[in-house]
Amino acid sequence: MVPTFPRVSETFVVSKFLGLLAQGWDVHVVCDRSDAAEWSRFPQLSGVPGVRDRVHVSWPHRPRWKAAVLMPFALLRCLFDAPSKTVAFLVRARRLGLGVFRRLYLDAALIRLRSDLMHFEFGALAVDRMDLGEFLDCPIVVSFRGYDLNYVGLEDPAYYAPVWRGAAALHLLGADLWRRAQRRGCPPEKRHVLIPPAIDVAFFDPAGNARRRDTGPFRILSVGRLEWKKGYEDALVALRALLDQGIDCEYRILGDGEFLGALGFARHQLDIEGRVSLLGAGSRDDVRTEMRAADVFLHAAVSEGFCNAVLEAQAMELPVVCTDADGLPENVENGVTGIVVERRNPKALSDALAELAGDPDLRRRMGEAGRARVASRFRTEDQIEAFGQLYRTVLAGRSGRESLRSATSGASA
Amino acid sequence: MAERPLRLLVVGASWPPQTFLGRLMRGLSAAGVEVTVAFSRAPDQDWFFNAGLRAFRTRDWSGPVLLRVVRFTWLFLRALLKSPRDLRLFLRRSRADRGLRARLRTLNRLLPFAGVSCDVLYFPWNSAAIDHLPLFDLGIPVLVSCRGSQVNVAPYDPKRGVARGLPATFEKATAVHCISGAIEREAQRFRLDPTKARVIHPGIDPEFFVPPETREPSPVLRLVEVGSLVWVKGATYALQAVRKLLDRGIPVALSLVGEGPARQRILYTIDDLDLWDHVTLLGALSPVAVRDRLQQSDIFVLPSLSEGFCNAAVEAMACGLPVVMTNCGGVREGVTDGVEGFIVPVRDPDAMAAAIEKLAKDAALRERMARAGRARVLRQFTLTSHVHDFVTLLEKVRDCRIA
Repeated sequence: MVPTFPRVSETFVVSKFLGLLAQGWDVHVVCDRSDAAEWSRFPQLSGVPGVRDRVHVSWPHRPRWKAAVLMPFALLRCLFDAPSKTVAFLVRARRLGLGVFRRLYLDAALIRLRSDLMHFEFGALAVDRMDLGEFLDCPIVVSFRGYDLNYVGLEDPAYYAPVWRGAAALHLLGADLWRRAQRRGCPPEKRHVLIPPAIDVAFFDPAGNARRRDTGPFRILSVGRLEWKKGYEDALVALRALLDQGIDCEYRILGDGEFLGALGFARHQLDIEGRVSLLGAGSRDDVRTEMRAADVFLHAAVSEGFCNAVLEAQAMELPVVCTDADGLPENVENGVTGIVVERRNPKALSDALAELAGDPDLRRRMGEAGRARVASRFRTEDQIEAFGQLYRTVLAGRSGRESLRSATSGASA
Repeated sequence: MAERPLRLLVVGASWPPQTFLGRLMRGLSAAGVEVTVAFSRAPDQDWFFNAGLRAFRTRDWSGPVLLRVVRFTWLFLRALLKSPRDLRLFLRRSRADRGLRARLRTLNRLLPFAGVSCDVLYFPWNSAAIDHLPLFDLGIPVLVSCRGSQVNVAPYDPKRGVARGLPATFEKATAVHCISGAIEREAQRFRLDPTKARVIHPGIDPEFFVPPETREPSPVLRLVEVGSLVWVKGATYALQAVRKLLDRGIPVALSLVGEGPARQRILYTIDDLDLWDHVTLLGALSPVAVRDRLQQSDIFVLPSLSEGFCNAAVEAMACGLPVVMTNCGGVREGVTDGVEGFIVPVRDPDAMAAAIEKLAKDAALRERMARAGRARVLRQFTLTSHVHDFVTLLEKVRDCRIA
């Protein structure tokens, strides 16, 4: 379950989907949106036969009159495809009153799939729908990837209580997020796994790198959506400091987002318009092309779940300068594959960048160490295997519970 | 005033209008100007009508399609009856829009103004002027206000057409009002002719914003920031400054007055810097509540990245607060560093913390700066003189005696 599929900024969902399919799992994706433009950025999807039948877009929620008109069709479709599941859903969810039809409409795609296990890829997506586990009699796994724990519902201490209560297991990207989950009320004994993201190390291959040069400006690259949490403003201040130190450098940012206006302004205010290129969103190929030409990868995040782009950069033998936000210190090995500095501290960023700018040998060493680290610890195969293991455990636990329940009902009879 | 009252039509205000705009409209009306304000929503508060203001109805391009079509047809027929000449102008000018939908939207915005009659058209925002450019050709003198972010922030957003839209409005306007000299200089980058520009600083009512009779003593230094929660106000830099002060053992508490899209970022920063016990988000408050909050605070802080002038600081100064502001826009036209408060560089929480620390440790300095601030407001930034200057400007615009 994801909001949008496929999506460039959530490429990991696509990789996971393809990986699980290749392992023989019967995987389906349920989403609210699926744009043709995004599909065109994922050639790897078109190679899979019947892939479109595995992606289910929910019926439109808005405008409401449209949802109301379509509702009877959703009901008929559910009854036709999964009659017993639909009836069971209506019976179990009857405490919602007439709201049961609204829920049925919203979750029609899930009812029809009759799945054995549901996985919400983001905590924020799951929080209002945890009762589906009961309505559909199906265990739920919930992933927390960063923003869901860091910002969503911060003012409400019990915001994620339904997830802590209802999820069969949690998946988190790293130890930092697990700590945050506990700070937000998750009981420490809750079943959980830490599975870091993984990337396609075959695709992000440093063989074509073009950075063995001695001339031209020091090239800094960032890849990621233009959002405040990525800390680009601090990065721009750091760039200004580098230029003030007389270091000839340029900064390219690949990504798009609502913070474009703020960055355009900061670039103007700091008088570095000629040094900073805001490139807009790019495909995976664009990311690789940019990484091939860069000297250092910069991630000035204020908050970041884990960051796949940083993994990709390391795979491409790019040394990384990043902050200590959330999962980044688990991602980059400080002093080995890059330099990790305090967040919200432009001075620390510019010091680290200056150190790398003046030492091509250090850059090369860190780059190579990065490639080795990613290739051994963040491989897609291992990640898929870990998810498979998680699902098998949850399903095994469930069949155990089922037999227990039949035993007790037998006893009461 | 002339024997016949000056008839002013304000285009581009939203209902309810921003506090300062409401204040200006009321002031103009009290000074004998006949003020009509175009709104897409009908005013529903008594003060508006009690002040003798009139509403002029426009229509949003929203709602069910059928309703839009009916409304549009009605607007079109009415425009045809009232002024075929204006209708022709609007139709011709809307051809510049790409696509039928964009064109309908533009026409829907313009049609209510066909055959409109007034002495001066006033756009309180540059964006409104850009959106209503064909109205500049109705033969009515036009005044445009440059207030801040639309001149010194929005043009640098690569996705918005503000930078392209500004020059034509400046060229066609009869006169351009700038709320500070800094804003006038910024506007000149977009081809504002300096002979058309008039700087009139905003004003506030010093009878309303008054120092409290007694400021209740508090063991912690109470900082207050008033401003929408948007990135340009830089609230996270104030949070960083608070963290630094606490780390140095200086007890401070910060209240943020305002609401906006940066709320999530601010909440995250509060959480990340562990400031829950030291920062309060009060949301948007009424003018009375803002004043009460200012009266119960010790220092006004505003870490903005960009400002047109510094309205909120002027209100705070009138309430007897020393201010700590960032050096941007027209701030230095309202505050002199070291006199009414301190001015620190933008994006520099260390400097902001240092300035607050200086004030924290010196009650006499706070007192001196507070008195200087109040005196300066009374001298330079009263609503009365602001309205007076504005009426004079409007009369010049009506008579086209600007250049």
